[in-house]
Order: sequence, then structure tokens, then C-alpha cells
Amino acid sequence: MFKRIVLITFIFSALMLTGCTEDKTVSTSELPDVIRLGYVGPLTGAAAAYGQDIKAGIDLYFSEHPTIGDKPVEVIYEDGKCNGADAAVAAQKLITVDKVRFIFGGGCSGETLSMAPIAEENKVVTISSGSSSPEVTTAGDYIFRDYPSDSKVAQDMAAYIASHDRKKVALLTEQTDFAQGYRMMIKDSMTAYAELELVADEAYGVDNADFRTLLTKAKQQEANALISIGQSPSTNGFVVKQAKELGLDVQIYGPDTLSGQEFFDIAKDAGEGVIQFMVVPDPTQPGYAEKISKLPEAQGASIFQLLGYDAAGMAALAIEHVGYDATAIKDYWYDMPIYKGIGGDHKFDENGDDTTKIGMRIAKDGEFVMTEE
Amino acid sequence: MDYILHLAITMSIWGILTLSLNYVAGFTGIISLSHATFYGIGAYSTAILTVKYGFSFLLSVAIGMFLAAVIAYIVSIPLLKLQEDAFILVSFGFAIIGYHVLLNWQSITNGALGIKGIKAPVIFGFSFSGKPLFLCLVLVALICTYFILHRIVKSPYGTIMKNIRENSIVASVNGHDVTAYKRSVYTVGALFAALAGSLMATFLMFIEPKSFELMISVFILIALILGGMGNLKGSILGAVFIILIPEILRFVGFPNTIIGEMQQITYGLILVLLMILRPQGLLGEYKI
Amino acid sequence: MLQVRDLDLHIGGLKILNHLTFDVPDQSITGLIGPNGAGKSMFFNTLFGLFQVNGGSIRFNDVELVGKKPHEISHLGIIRTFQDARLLPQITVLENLLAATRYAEPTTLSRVFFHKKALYQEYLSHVKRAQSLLKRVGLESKIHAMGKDLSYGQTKLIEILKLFMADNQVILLDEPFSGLFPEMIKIITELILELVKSGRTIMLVEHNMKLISEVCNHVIVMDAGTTIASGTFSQIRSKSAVAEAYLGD
Repeated sequence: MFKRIVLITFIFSALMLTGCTEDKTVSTSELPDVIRLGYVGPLTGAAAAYGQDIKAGIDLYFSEHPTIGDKPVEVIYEDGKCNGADAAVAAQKLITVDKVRFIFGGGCSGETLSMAPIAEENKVVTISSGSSSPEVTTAGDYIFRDYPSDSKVAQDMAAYIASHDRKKVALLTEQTDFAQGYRMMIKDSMTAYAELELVADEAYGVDNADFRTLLTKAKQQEANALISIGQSPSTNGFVVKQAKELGLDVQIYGPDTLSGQEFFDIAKDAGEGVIQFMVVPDPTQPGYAEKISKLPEAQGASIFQLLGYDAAGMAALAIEHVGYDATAIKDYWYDMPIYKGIGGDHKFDENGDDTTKIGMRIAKDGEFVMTEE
Repeated sequence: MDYILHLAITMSIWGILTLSLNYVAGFTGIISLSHATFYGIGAYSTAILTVKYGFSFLLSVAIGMFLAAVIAYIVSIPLLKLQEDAFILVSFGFAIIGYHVLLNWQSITNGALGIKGIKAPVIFGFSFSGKPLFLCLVLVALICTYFILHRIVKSPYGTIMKNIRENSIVASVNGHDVTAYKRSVYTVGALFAALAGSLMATFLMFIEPKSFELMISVFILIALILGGMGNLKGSILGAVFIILIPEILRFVGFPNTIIGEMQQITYGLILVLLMILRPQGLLGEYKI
Repeated sequence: MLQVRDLDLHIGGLKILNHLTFDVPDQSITGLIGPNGAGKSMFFNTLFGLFQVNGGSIRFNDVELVGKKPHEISHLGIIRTFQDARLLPQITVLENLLAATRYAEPTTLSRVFFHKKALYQEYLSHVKRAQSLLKRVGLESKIHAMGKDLSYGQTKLIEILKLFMADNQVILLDEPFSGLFPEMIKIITELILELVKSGRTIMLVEHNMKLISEVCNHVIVMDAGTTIASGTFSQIRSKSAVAEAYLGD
């Protein structure tokens, strides 16, 4: 019985090998009758806010520009669920069944990294407006992003701290993928600066609200700078508030998860002077004011909507110039001059990473405002 | 076409996973919520050993299975002393611990960033890249798993497993060392879960801790219950269903604005309906 | 010879067994009687290592049973039925009987894979035995029925048949006749007498005094966890303490 089944399996696979040769040749530079683009991102689940925001940006762009070179555009949306396995099969379906040559995605880094081998094998271009893992930099030739790598944020943060007085750093991180990823990169970036000293490196449980023990440790180690990577504004708010209560004399830094009304509700004036490094929309960018009013209220953060919009714009620009041919689109993008989008100025480096600027904001009078170094 | 091959491969790997949990939970009554942890151990062993240290695929699988077996054996010593409800809770806890180890042991696992660039398996110089060949490999693994477990459960050993499931006191009075059998079952289950993990790692070429969190353990249990506990063929069916139903929903044509949510709600409804209409699963011989 | 000496079992502040002391003669049919709550079933459970004793000893052929695990007790040749006899519900009658079967060697994975033939031969012989046992009591059609689908009487019958599936020296029967029709009682009595003829030692917990007087050649009376009388039925009957506590004469 066993042998019989093994034999059948081999015959079946041999048939698959011969019979299932797929036409993977890239389409010509002519435009198809309908330009089908794919989207894979977290439409449900914990990261859905970001997936929906990116989608909103893409939707707005194509509602304003429904055709590329007079051919209508159709975006086919698939839910990646912020999960590698789900994103991979979604990408595979879009490529095999819907025959897309271009995918907006993933949202989460895990999605992007799982889609990458499939995209590379099939020569399909992907662009992520949400993945921040440094691993995406080297994920492949056809893999692009207009959202910056966390390592860039970490580098900017480390560079800033190294160029200012307080160099004894305490690092407090929440036990989530996001925060732990950041923790690794900050520690990595700090090694480039011999003058920086990591005096405390503590991780705490999800949704923890009492940091007094950890902060006391930091105080004992004479930390004068504190990096708080909590998953939500309220968590970061508690860290900041309790740091002040314990009398820590620290300059506090954090990433994009600092900002939110709850941060100031909880931290109150302890939040004054906290410095935030993040990918920020620049309100002075041309087109920003007009588009932001057209976009729905952001579920996560408006920057994702803006970057989604820009990704759509850059895709349309490429397709217009070189046709719906993934390899040609890829080559076009590597050579593309600066694209002035509503989320920032975009230019891809040799890895497909964007040169989007990391902004710095400081908490002043109960809100975060842009500041220059 | 590639999409169908992708699904077939995924279903086969989940078949191995579901079979291994059936062995533990369906036949022996050990309702483990930490099966994904052993799945993760296999995946990470293969990923780390092949990417970082250049080990061969087969060796990495063997080490992964061995590691999973050792950890399962050690964990089972305190774990199997617990009564049912406590056991479920603690196995739940073990799953969370496992996830956090993968997340935090950054020097080995690369933490949240995951491990990418896992290459297709090369066995005795032959590369299994390309979906048709990989499907071959996975099917062979699935068939071997099925036949090995089938041999065991159809033998007098299987009768003892079921005896333990039905009433462990009667089993011990019947002369069976319940603790020893349970430990062996739990360990063998972990072995095959690790095999599935190694295959998934080389298939997706990228893994992260999130791929092995608690919810995955729950999904394996759902696939098991869906296909039917205590019936090995049911496990294959359960794996097929749990992968296929969401895929079919992709083609239903929900409006774009609510596509994600509608797929999830419909999927949930289907599962609930199946449980109401047929609580023992499609081919089940055992209701919890 | 089964020797119980000063056996103590305390649960939740209650003295379930209190310095319990008695002997069970070899190859006897010993009745264990007493009012409800006297500790008779608990004695069986304790002997099997299902509860941890607080003191005392149980010796069987000079081997100390206290401290041993249930399966170890079983391997010494002691088997039992349960008062609330229930077949394992989600497996077949045949599997129920096979689960109680003693194989020549413990069934391990290595036996399954490396001694497949020998194991299979043994398995077949046990299946044959199960089939003929079921036939004797007219239940051969139920061989593949699920345990939960049998009637109460059928379940009690199969509980007794299990005793024939494993070699043993001592059999503990916990109210094997409770709730049964007279015809069933007759069949089960015959089976028990057959076991006795083959030289086993039997302990029988039972409330039916007529049966006890007919079947047992030795009787132990328990009350509140301790022995209050032992001897032949007529001997214990005459003791006034027993009459008061139990017989209600």
C-alpha cells in the first residue's frame, strides 16, 4: 500500500513537472486592456489600521487617475493579515490567477519578506508603504519601499544622541515584534559611536503600566538619556510620567508610537521636551494640504495614506513610460529622478530603499511639533 | 499552475502538522495548545543551521526533530502531571513562552526581524527548488508521516493510546504505565511537528516568531477538530479545509471596501456552522 | 495471601480507612461487606495505588503493595472491576477487551516496528479469545459496537469478561451484580465461579447477603474504615456487632 502510494506520487509529480510549465514570460511594453495591479496588506487583524490607510491612499490616487495611458486601472485587494504565510499565498494568487505584474505590498515586514521570493521568481515588482524591517533592504531586486527602514530611524536617533551632551542611554522596550526589532537596531546603531554608553537595556511585558522598578535601575546606572519604545502612546506616557516622578534627569526619545492624545493625557507636563524620531508628513510638501483633506480620517497614521498615494503615483508614472512590464518598471524606478510626492520626496537607492527623510519632532505645549536638529 | 501548487504544498505541510496533533490529542486525549512551538523549533533549526552555518537540509531537519523531541520530553515531565484543565492552560503558557524565546533570543533567532534567504532543500546534491519538485518532497514526507502514525495507532499500542484518552485510571488499572505512554506520545507528536516546520521554512524562505505564536496552535487544533479527531484520514481532510476555505472566499467577490472583514466573518461563520452541524468533525471518531 | 495491616487513609480530615486489618486467604472467595461508606470501594482503590495511604501496609505474597503505581499492581497479577462499570465509550467493545489484555511483553514502539509479526500473532490470538468470550454470553454481535451504545447489563457483563483477558491471581470485584436482573446475575455468578475453579483468589464487595452466603467461603465485615468481624458467613452472622451495624437482624 505504501509503495503504491509513493509510486503514484512520483508519477503525479512527473506529470506536474512536464505538464505544468507556465508561461512566465514578461508581458510586452504594450499596455493590456485593463491594467491589473495587486495589493497585499493587513486588512484585518492588529495591523489593519495601517493596511487600510495604505489602501485609502492608493484608492484616492486611482479615483483621481482611473487610467494610465487611457487604459483603465483595476486594483485587486488581498488580505495579508500581517502574516507571512497568508501574504505569500495571496501574492501567489495575484500573480498566477490575476496575472498582475505589480503588487502594492506588504504592509507588515513579515508580509513583504514572505512575498519577496515569489515576486523575485516571477519577476513582479512590489512596493511597500509600511514595512520598516532592515531585512527588506536586501530582500531582492524587485522589492521596493517608500517607507524607510527602522535602521535609518535608529541611526538618526543614535547620531543625534551622540552629537549632544547626554550620552548615558537607558533603553526600555515592550515585548512586541515592533519594539524588539527597534531595540536590536538601536543597539546596533549605537555601536558606531564609542562615546555612547548603554547603561540599561530592559524589556517589559505587553501593556505593562508600572515601570518604576526598571526606571529605578536606570537611575542607579546614572542614565541621562532614555529611549522609550512602547507599543502605544499610553504605554509611553506612563514611562515618561513615572520617570519624572522618580526624579530621573533624562532626555527622553522615542519613535512614532509616542504621539497620540493619550500620551499627553497621561504624561502631562512630564512629556514636555520629549523628542520623537519618525517618518512624518511634511505639511509644506506640495499637494499635501489638498490631498489630506480628500483622504478619510487615518485609522493608524496619515503618513501611510500619503505613502500609499505616492506609491500609486510612482507606479503609474513608470507604467506610463515603459509599459506594464515588471523588469522595465524596476529599471525605471532605479533610475528615476526625485519624485515629489505628497508624503515626501522619493528616490530609490540601489537596494530599492527610499530616501524619505526621517523627521524629528519635539513635544511642546502638549503636542509634537516639527523641529530641525 | 503555481497557485494550485502553492496551495497543495501548504495543505500537505498542514497535513503533517494536523496528523501529529491528532496522534497526541485525537488518539491520546492530550489537548495540547503548544504544538506550534515544536513546529517553530523545526523551522528555526533548519533556518538557522542552513543559513548561518551552512548545514545540509537533511541534517538540519534531523537536528530540528531531535531538538523538538528532547524539549518535548523534558517539558512533558511536569506538564503531564497536570489534570486536563490545568494542562490546557499550562500548555497555553508554554506556547507563549516559546514565542517569547524566539522573539528575544536575538543572537540566535534574529528576533523580530526573522530569518530570510532560507534556500530550497538540496538532498544528495539534488535541488528541490521549484514548486512541483518541492511538492513531491512534501508529499513523500506526508505519506511517510501518515504510514508511520497509522502503523502505530492500528497496533495494540493504539488501543492503549485510546484507552488512556477514554479513561486514564482504567488504563493504569489495565496495566499500562500511563505516564510513560503519554510522554512518548507527546514526544513523537513534537517530532513530526518539527518536520512540518522545517519544510515550511524552506518553502516560504522566510520565518519570523509571529509565524509560530499561540494562534497557530489554535488553528492546528481547529483543523484537527474539523477533520475529525481519532481518524488519521480526517486530519488530511481538516488540513485541506482549513487552507481551502479562505482561498475560496477570495473569489467570492466581496466589495473592496470591506473585503478583508467579510472574508474573516464568513470564514468564522463556516467554522461555527460545521461545529454545530457535525461536532465530531468530518470523519471524527472522538468528541472531546 | 493478601495481608492488610493497619491501613490508614485520611481524606479531607475524614478517616476513610482506620487501622484496617485483615487477611485474605489464598484461593478463597472472600466477601467484603459493610454499610455504605464503610470504605470497601476505597480499599480497592487504595490497594491499586489510586490514593496515597497515610500509614499501614498491604502485602501480597510478601510483596509490599503500598507505594506502587496502579500499573505495577496490575503486573503483579491483581485485577479489578469498577462499581460504576462503564465501558470506554468512544472505542469498540473489542477494543475495550483488548485494552484490558495482558501481552507477553509491554507494548512499546519498538515492538510495534521491530517485532511486528510476533505482536500481530499475539493480537490475533487475543481477538479470537475476545470473540469466543462474547459468544459465550451472547454478545458476539456487539463486538464492534461503541462502548457507549451498550446497555447497563451488557456493560456489567463485559466488565467481567475483561477479567478473562488478563492472566491474574487476585480478582477484586466491586458490586458486580448491582442493578442487574436475576438472569444476568446467574450468568455472572457462573463466570465468577469459573474463575474461582481455576485457582484464583477473589474479593467480592456485595450488598446481596444471599449471594454472599452462597458464594463466599470467607467474609470480612467493615464499618467506618475498620474491620469489625471476619470469618465464615455463619460465624460473622452470629456476632452481635455485625448484626447491629449491618445485617439488621
